[in-house]
Amino acid sequence: MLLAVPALCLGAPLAAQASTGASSGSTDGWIRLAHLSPNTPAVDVYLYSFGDSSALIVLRHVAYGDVSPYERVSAGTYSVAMRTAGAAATSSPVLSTSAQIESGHAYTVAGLGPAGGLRLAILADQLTTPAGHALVRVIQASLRQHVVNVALGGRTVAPDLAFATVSAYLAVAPGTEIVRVTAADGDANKTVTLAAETVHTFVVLDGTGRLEIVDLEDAAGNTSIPASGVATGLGGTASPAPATAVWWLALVAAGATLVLAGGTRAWLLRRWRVTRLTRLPRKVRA
Amino acid sequence: MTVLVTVGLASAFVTLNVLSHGSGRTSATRTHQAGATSPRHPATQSETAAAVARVQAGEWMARQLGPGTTVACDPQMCSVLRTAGLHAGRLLVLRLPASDPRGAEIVVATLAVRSLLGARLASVYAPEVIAIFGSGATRIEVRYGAPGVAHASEASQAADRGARAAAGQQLLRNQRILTSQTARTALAAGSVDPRLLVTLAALAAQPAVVQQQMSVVAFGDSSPGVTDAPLRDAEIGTGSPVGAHAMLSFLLAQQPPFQPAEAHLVRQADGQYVVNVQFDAPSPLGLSAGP
Repeated sequence: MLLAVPALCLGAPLAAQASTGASSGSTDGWIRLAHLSPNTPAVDVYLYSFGDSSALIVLRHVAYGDVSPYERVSAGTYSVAMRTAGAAATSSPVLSTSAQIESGHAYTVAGLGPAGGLRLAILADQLTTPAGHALVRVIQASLRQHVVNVALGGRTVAPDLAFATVSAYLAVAPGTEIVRVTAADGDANKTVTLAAETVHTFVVLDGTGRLEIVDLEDAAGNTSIPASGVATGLGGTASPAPATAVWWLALVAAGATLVLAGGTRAWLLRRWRVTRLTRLPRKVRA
Repeated sequence: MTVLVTVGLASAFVTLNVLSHGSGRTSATRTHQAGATSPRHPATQSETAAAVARVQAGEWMARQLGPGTTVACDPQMCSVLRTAGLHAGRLLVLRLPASDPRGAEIVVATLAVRSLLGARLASVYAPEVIAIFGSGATRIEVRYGAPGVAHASEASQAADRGARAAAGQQLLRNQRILTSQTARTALAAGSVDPRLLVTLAALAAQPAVVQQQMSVVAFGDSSPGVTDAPLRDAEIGTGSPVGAHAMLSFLLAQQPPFQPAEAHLVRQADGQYVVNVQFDAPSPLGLSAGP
C-alpha cells in the first residue's frame, strides 16, 4: 500500500477519489499506464468500462520502464486486468483492481512491487501547480536498492523512499537543477529543467548495472490536459496528427495492433520507453 | 432435514460439552435451579438453542469465509469451528480476562464475547455484522473488522454503499448487460458486492461473451439474519453454451481477491446455461488499488 497519497487509500471504495486536477468542463478524464515492477515480464493490460463494454482499452506488451502517454477516457469506473504478454489468446486476463476516473482528472495506473507481489496502484496525477512553482514527486521502482533518498539541488524531496512507493508532490522553485538519488549500494544524478507551472514525476529505475532516473513531465501550463495526452485515444474526436518515425517504430516494435473483434473496439496499444515519452507527438490517433 | 440434522448435532455437542465441562456447567445449572419450578428443562432448551446457533454459525463460516480469514472466538465457539473444518492457525481464542481480537478479521460475537468486549466490540473491533444465528441471549453475530484498516464508521459504510450504487448504476447503462428487475434494484441500491461489480464489467467485455448479451438473472443473499450485507452470489446467463463456458473459464482464472469461492455451470430445464458464482465472506470495504 502506498501511503504518500492519502486520498487513495484502500478504504476508498471502488474509487481513486482524486482531488487533483482542474475541471475541463467535459466528462472525460485522463489515464496512462506505467510498468514499474522490475522483475515482472511484459504484460497486456485491459481496462473494462462499467458503463460501456465496447470502450475496452487494451495496452499490449508493456514492459518494465514503459509509460504510455495519457489517454482520454470517459469518466466512470473501470475494471483493470492483466495478462502476461504473449499468453495464449484463450487465456483469461486476471482482474487486479478497479479505477474510478473522474472528469478533468488524470491518473497513472502503475504496476508496482516485485513479480510475486505485483499490484496495480491508481495514482492521482496533479495537473496544476501553485503560481510560479513546479511540482515534483518520486516513484521508487528500483528493486536493487530497496530504499533511496532523492534530492533536488540541495533540497531533499523524497527521504527514505521504499521500493514500490510514491512520494507526495512537492512545490519547488523553477530552474535547472540536479536530481540526486542515493542508496546503500549506488547512486545516480540527472540534470533536469523545471519550468514554472510544470508537474514532474521522477522515476527511479533499475538500469543496466546502475540506477536510472527518468523525468516525466506530467503537465504544463496549468491546463486541464496533461502533457503527452493523446486527445483522441479512446473514442475522442480530435483529428489525427502525422505520426513520427519514432512513434511508428515504437508501435511496430511492440507488435501493437488495433483489434476489432465481434463488435468490440479494442484500442491499440503502444509501447513506449519512458525515456521517449516527452518526445512523443501529441494527438495521435490509435 | 437439514434442521433436524443440525439440531441432532447440536444436541450431541451439548452432551459432549456437559461431559467435558461438567463442573462449571453444573454450577450454572444449580444457580438456575434455585428459582425454577422445572429445574432442568429451561436450561437445557437454552443450551440446546445456543449449541444449535454455534453449529449453524460454524458450518456457515466454514463454507463462506475465505481460506485466509482469521477468526476470533471464545473457546467453545473455536472448538466448534475446528470441528467444522477451520484450521486452528486461523483461530484467535479469546480468553478472560484480557482478550483483544485485533488481528482477526472476523469476531464471533457469542454471549461470552459480547460480555467480554462490551461496547468496544461494535465500536472498535468489528463494527459490521455479516451474519446472525439464533436469537435472544443465544444469538451469535459474525462480525467483520478488517485489521489494519480504520474501522468503518456508519458514515464510511454509507459512502462505501454509495460507491457500490454508483458503480452498479454504470453497469445498468451497459447495453451488453441485461438485468432482471430484482437485479436492477440491487445494483441501483448499492447492494452488490464490489468484487461482483468489477467481475461483471469484465465479463461483459470478454470476446466469447460479447457475441451475446449477458444477463444477470439474480443476486443472492448468503448472509443469514442480515438484510444489508452486500450480495455475494450471482446467477449469470448468456445466449450460448460457448459464452457460458467462456464466462466460467474467466471466473476460474481469477486470483484473490477476485477469485470466486464457487463458480459452476448449470443447465436449466429450458436448455439454457447459466453460471452461478459466489464470493467469500466478508465483502471487502473497497477494492481500489490506490496508494
